[in-house]
Amino acid sequence: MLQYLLHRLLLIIPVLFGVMILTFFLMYVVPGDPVLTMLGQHATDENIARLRAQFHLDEPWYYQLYNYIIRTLKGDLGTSYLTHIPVRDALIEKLANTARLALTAIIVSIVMGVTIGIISAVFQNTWIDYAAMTFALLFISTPVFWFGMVLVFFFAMKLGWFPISGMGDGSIKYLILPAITLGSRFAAFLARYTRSVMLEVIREDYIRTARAKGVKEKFVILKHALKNVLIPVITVIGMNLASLLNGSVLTESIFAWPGFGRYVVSAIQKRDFQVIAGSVLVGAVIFVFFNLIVDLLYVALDPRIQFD
Amino acid sequence: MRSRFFLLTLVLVFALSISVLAADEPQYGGTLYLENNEDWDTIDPAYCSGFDAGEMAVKIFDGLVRFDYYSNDIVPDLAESWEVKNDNKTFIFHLRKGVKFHNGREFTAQDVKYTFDRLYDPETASPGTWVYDMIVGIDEALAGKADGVAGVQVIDDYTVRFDLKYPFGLFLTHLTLPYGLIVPQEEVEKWGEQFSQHPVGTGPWKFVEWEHDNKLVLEANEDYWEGRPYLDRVVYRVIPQALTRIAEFEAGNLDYTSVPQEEIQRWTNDPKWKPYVHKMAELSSYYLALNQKFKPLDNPKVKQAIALAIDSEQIVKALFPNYVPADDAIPDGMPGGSDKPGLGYDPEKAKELLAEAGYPDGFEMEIWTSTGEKSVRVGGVLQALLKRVGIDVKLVKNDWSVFFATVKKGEAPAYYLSWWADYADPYNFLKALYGSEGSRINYKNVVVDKMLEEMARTTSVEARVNISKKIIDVVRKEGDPYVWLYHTSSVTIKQPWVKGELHHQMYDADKLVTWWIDQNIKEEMSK
Repeated sequence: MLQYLLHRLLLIIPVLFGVMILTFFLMYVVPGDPVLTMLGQHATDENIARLRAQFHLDEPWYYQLYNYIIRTLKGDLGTSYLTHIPVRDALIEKLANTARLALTAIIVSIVMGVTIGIISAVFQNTWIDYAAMTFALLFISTPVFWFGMVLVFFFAMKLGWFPISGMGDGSIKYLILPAITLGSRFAAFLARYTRSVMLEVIREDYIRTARAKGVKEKFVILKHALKNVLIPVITVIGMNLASLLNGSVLTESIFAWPGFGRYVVSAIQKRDFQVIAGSVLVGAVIFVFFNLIVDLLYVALDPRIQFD
Repeated sequence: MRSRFFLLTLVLVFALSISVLAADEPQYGGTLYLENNEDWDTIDPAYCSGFDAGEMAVKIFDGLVRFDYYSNDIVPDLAESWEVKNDNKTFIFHLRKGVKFHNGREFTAQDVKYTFDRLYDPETASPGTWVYDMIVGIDEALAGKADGVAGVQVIDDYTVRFDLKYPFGLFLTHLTLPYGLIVPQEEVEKWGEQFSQHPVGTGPWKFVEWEHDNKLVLEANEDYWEGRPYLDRVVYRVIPQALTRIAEFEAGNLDYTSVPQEEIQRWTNDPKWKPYVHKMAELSSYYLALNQKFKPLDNPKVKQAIALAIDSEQIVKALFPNYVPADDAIPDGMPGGSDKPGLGYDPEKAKELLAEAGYPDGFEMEIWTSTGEKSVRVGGVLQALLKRVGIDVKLVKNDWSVFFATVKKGEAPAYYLSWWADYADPYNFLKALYGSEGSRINYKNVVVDKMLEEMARTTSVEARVNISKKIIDVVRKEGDPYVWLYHTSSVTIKQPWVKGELHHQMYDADKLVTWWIDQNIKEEMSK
């Protein structure tokens, strides 16, 4: 186990190096730079050259790359050219906000998705199944932006149950609508996925055996089947948790949530290189980390899987 | 009995008139809730290149002069008065006494000197060095060869002198720009790069807190030299989506907001809200630029033919019903525009001109736009209109950075872009668009350059307006390298309890000192 963990952790190093180098070259070849954003309509060759020199953007690429790698290895993610705020500080703040949103969204989607999936499978081909799957299809195909605005219209403006946008005082009521918006498509996907896995599992021999032994149906489903359903479902959840953390920009935008997604997109638009490089690297770390956790969880859930 | 009745009536009438008068008397107190569509990059005056940043900085900091709240006149701010000498080459400012920074320290001439020294310190890396490039000694300072800007001198604690390299009539106007807002040395040195997160100025508003991408809070400066603002606090919320902003306004959580185009009709058609909707012409000009380096776009007949083929009125009607069609560079509400009408729309004449120029079957050209929704839509319309006269347009759409980098290098053959006023004077538009120095369309006209120079020298607004009209005439005669499309306008809406709000065309004119909240109306409406 320890050896496997060490092996996996060591593998992270080349992956992150790859990400750093790739991000650097992407930024290097894509035209535009933060100096143009700063100068706006007053960009003249002289001004551009002066500011580029001050930000060391005029140095040869290998020198810039070397500096970037050395700095990052020391744990310094740099400072935004535009805001002068250290990227690390900003990332901590934004990631904390997005993590709150993404974790709430994932809990909402797991509770809703897995429950609906199991119920649908158990009541296969009944009206319950049809209704649940129709709703799931509807949620998967609904654009996030539209769905968010509909929630705002009904639950915030008409019924007044929740605030419209922002983080307010940080209380849970500000989290509900954005979390449902962010988690809805995943919940629907999870419902359909859980249903199909469950349908396969309940046709397995060991379920038939359990039933033949006279185990009550409730126990057959919750004890024997559910555990086996969870393994593929957890893989899907693990993969999606990272992308929820990285890809919540639309939801953050609708609900004016000050998160990671908005931060990165704004930096890309303004070509704020230090922010882009830092965010992509941290995003990659999150992705790799969640994949590792998922792999470790397999073992905990299925003793047949060994660390090799 | 009759006399007593008369007396009673008189008292009642008096009491009533007092209460009516009192209703319009500004009230102190309350919190104003405003919004912004994105976070501010900075509030440090030395880096305020964007409108949002400048708009916020003028609330916290003061400059030597500022725009009048109700006109484009320049009025005293931290400078009480000034003398202009030496053929507009020397400006001596007499400063206001007893003004205090938010940290309690008194403002003096040394702060003015420090502000300008800092702006031109190469370590500061300010994007605003173009603004005061007429001051003596800035080149040496920027090159790190001098300790400070030689042309800014402290005469005594309350007098400061600026020496210019050449006569510059618009120097006072340039001082209204956010880069000229005065900062205290000790605070800048204490916070270093983080000064933007802890801004301290002499302005009417003190900085309280800033949660990035979420909210920014200001509170009234009780010691403001002109008397404290009416409001106690202002809370700005960062809300990126227009529809979310309108929803928050509808719920009463915002006091004032911009109305997105698709929502304008809904609010103006509602008699209850109509009085609170305000439309204002903005100081912007949108155009199709024709790069003179590319043939046949330098041919006067071709330029005129392209202008005649484009129906700016139709574009406005179809795409932006609230905007104003343009026929020259100068926006509505600003003097200096031509008194004569532009070429207008005449596709038949355009075809004739093309034939005369040797292109009876038209030609192919590229028009560059950014990938912004508005740009793509306008690009499509331009393509369709030019097709009618035989010009085949290939639209080259690029991400803003790529687009702008190409335009700036003078490499885009034709492009759709705009100019927004740094200050309300025709010189600001004409110099940037028709000046040969750093021209993005490789335009060079010695007569125009000479007139621009003349325009920069004079302090007379009237003279500048006259030269502006002449420049437009000269340019038109030989084929304007720009096809003028439209000037924008903004539509805002306020809650009925918001009073005294300003609708100034300059983004950096409003210090939020005239705004107040009518608590009676607010209480009445929230019942």
